[in-house]
Amino acid sequence: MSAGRSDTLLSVENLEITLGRHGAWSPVRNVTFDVKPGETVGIVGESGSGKSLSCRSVLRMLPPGMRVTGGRLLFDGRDILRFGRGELQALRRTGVGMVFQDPFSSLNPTYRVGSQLAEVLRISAGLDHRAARSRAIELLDRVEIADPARRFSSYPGELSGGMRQRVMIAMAIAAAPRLLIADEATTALDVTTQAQILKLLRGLRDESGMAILLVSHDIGVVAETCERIVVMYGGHVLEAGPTASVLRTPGHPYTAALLRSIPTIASAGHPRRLAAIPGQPPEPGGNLAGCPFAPRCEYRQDACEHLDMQLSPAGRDHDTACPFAGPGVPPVPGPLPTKATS
Amino acid sequence: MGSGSALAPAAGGPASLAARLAGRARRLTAGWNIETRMGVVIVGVLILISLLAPLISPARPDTISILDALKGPSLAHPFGTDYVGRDVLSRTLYGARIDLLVVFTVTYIGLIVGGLAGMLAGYFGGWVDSLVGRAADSAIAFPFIILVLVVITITGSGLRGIGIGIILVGWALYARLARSEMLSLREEQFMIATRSLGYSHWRSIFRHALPNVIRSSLIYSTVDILVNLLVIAAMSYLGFGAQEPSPDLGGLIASGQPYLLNAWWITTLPGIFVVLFGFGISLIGDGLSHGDVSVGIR
Repeated sequence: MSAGRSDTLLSVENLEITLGRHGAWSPVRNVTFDVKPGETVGIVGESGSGKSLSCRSVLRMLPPGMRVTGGRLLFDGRDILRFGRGELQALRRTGVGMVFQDPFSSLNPTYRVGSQLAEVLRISAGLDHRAARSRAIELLDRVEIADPARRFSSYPGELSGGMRQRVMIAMAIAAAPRLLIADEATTALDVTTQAQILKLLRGLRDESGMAILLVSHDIGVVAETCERIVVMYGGHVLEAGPTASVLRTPGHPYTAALLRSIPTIASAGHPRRLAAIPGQPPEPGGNLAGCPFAPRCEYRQDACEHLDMQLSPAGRDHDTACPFAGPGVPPVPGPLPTKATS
Repeated sequence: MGSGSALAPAAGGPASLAARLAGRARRLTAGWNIETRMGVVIVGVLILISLLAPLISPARPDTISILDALKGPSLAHPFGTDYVGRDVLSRTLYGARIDLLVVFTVTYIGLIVGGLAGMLAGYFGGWVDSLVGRAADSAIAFPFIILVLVVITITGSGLRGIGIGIILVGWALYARLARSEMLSLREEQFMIATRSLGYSHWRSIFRHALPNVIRSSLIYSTVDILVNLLVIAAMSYLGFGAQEPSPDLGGLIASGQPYLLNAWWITTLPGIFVVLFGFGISLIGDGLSHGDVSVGIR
């Protein structure tokens, strides 16, 4: 990889993803964010907000029928959308590692976990059989799997969800990628395992200097792991910036409403209804003009339907796409939301 | 002693190989249930005796002896003789040998061709899928007997024509099966992961998808073998199969039919063979489809 023209590892600029040939619907519109080397960036958003698609497009792995129809994806200053076969393969093998959500289908049930891990090492790192085997055992040890030499010969069905996710992480980092994309990597795990996996990811980042792009619908997971946070809704980035700033002084009504709807220990004893955002997320299939959150927004104005959804600093340390309610949204008091187990 | 120690590893080679094979066989059969075990024993014995036909049959299958025609079971002819005095046991063994060879070849060529086409169709989709899908539809829609008749007019009578006919139709079911398995497999995260790891399509298909796709095809093939054996027997019975004097099961049954009332033994043994084989194969298929059996493809 060349040194790159900037100090940005991954740069997503005005990304637009469209389903179908005639541009019937764009599940991702105008998404912009950066990941710097060694940095952990979190993307939060609910199902259908476009966060997973945005990440998949980084490896050019969109589902059939979907295409990138606008914007640029730069990895190390080079345009991923213009990559040829060989460059794309190199990007997938050694540039970016990816961990998926479901630990129960993420490993091939017909092969031993060790041989799947060793296969990655042979293909991507070019090791021979023997070297791949010993390196695979080292990696299993590194992702804190007990008795790695014995687990090498286990089939995926013999491992717990957390262990499988650890193996998956080992496969993703086997070729020492510069960016690890964790797409809902802890969502299917129980809270204790989730905290362990997040700790493991942080440890791996500190050790290797790789950047992590953590996708989650759990704002607590992102809050405790990421330096910067990107809030997505309806295919748009609504707010982005340093985690503490975004969570303490949200500039977008959606972020503020999300934060208010997190139950706290203090609220547990009170017979008060959990705060919720009224309305429903946008239906897939049609794009509304302007701000996608407008129909549910308590600060809604007529101009919201004509917003161009550009991020701009709204008098805070971070950017938001909402020019109206920003200063009016009350700061969130108290500590940042985190998982109870950490 | 120097030469002795040099010989020792060489002598240990075959022994350790045998031990490894035995260990492998034990591991392979460890998860088999009772149906599978019984089926494998029955089918195994039938295959073994038909393979050993030249060694164990009491006479040549085509030695005619008019004086011994239509003799009942005796020491010389345990299952009697047919209408020109040929030994029924020998003819059954030789006939089964040919039929089994044809039926296994034909079934597994169909499995390989159809499985391959179906996997590619399911994996790549698009025009590959349309092409394979249309071809499979036409193969299945075409009346089988007419297809075989057409093939036989080209190749001439004999098992070859029947075999080609069966392959032309048989691959299509495996293609459909493999395609549908591949369609659901493609969405599994480990298959998506093979792409995110930068593996080639061929590695994804043949190393990662194949072992997961093949299982249902293998189970189906146990039924298919039986169907194909019956089809071969039926077509031979109709006279399209092996031509006299070479024996095959359907032809044997057909040749015994006129004497059914006074020489029951001619049709009995080939009949029993077909029924036993079918029983054994069904047991294997049943056992495998119960799902707790490892197919042994790893």
